[in-house]
Amino acid sequence: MSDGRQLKDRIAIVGVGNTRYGNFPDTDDYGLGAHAFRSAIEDCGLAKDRIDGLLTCRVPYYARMGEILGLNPRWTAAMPAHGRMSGMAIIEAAAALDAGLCDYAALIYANIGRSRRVNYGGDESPGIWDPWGFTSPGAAHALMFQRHRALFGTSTRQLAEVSVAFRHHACLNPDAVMKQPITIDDHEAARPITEPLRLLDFCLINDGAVCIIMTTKERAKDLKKRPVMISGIGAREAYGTASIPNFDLNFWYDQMRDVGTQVYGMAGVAPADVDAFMCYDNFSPTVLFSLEGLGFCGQGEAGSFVEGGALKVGGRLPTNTDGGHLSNSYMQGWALNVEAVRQIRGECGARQVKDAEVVQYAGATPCCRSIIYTPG
Amino acid sequence: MNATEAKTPRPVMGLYDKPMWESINAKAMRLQRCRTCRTWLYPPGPACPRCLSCELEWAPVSGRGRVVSWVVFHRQYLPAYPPPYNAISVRLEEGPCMISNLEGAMPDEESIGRAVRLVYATMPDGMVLPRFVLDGT
Repeated sequence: MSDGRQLKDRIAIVGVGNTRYGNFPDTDDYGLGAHAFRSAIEDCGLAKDRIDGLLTCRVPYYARMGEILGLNPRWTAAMPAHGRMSGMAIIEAAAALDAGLCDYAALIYANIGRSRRVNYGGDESPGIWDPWGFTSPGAAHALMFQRHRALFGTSTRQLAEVSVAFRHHACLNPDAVMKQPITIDDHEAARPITEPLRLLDFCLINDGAVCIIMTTKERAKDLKKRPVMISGIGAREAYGTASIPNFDLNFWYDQMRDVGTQVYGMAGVAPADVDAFMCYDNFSPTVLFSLEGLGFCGQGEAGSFVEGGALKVGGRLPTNTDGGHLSNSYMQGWALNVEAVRQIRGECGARQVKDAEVVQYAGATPCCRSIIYTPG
Repeated sequence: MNATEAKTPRPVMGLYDKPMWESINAKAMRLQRCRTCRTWLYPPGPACPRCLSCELEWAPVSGRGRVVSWVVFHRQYLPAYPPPYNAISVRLEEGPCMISNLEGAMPDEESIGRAVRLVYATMPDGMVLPRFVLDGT
């Protein structure tokens, strides 16, 4: 099989920007997107008109976004509002840059789910399982965690370690939505939603936008900040049970194993070399599944792996140092990739991982992806 | 509105779903099976995912399966389903996985891997749903 190795260290992230996160009924997707774009442009010092690639995600109409920003690029891509798209989008943009389809790509993600009262589940999002009352994306993760618990003895107190560590990080992140520390007991006492999952296992719903500017290694040298290189990528889909959204009988283990082989092989590192881990966390169980599939521990061992605050800054694997989707912001993976860049740059203040040089993004979803970032 | 008045959520009726729901209403559930390689399909679709044949036939299912996992909803999402209520994932003997509900008892720690049997539940509004009971009950 061919792989992505020819892309190793050829493409860089040179600018990142984000809005505040919260409830913003007075603006819209485009307003938030424009704000994030402006801040990413300032971050890298590039003249706006040099942007000749545009990728939008969860933005209603890519051309209107271009019109608002005064951009007429020669490469455009638009991705739907699925969380799994962030890693996919960055990899697609890297390939387009490497192929010469554009010189500087701006990737813009915007979300107005809070102010427009988006509900996940119920009548607003009819699905084929509604006749049985099975709705809401969290229910599929509850099914998976229940099975993990039965097969491997994983406990909800172990699962709580994920939410507690990410909330700890959010308390260190000035941008984060959630600022109250929580304990394992708080997690256990929270309202059950789709048992065995409770409120604190669910991601936030908030407004906000993120922008990432990417270019080639050569062009990156002329910009304001030290570039952050894409050193490894890995990808594998799991479409076999796509009709049960966000569900895999084996926790995406086989797919994540494959992703791990690709991403570590390309970057020339092993899980033990990862200084900080940015893990897609729409629901807390998927963090356990990612750790197992990538080989941070064996299958069934993630529960004990995360015990004792292992995922906190200062622990054995600092994970989602911005607070993740559970406590920072529901930017569907985009903010996690921004956090990876900021960790490598050393811009993370109280939540900075000392000497972070190998930072990995991963998402275990029906489209599994991982990216390894290193300093340029 | 209580559950007895609420309408059971209607199935999403794609191009291929009608024969399945007719068979459910007749209390003899059928699914598509590939005439070429005998693979069972669910949900209904246009072609066999294994061999891509479009030669599909509707055949009765055995009604036997095993519980893959379960969940209990504690939040009300749909008017016909006041919490708490359960949903289960069942691996049918024929191969496909479906989502349904366990009747007779709430699932528990022992449920995963248990054999179940298909039953036809008539909802308060008359809609017939394929559900499951633990085998031997």
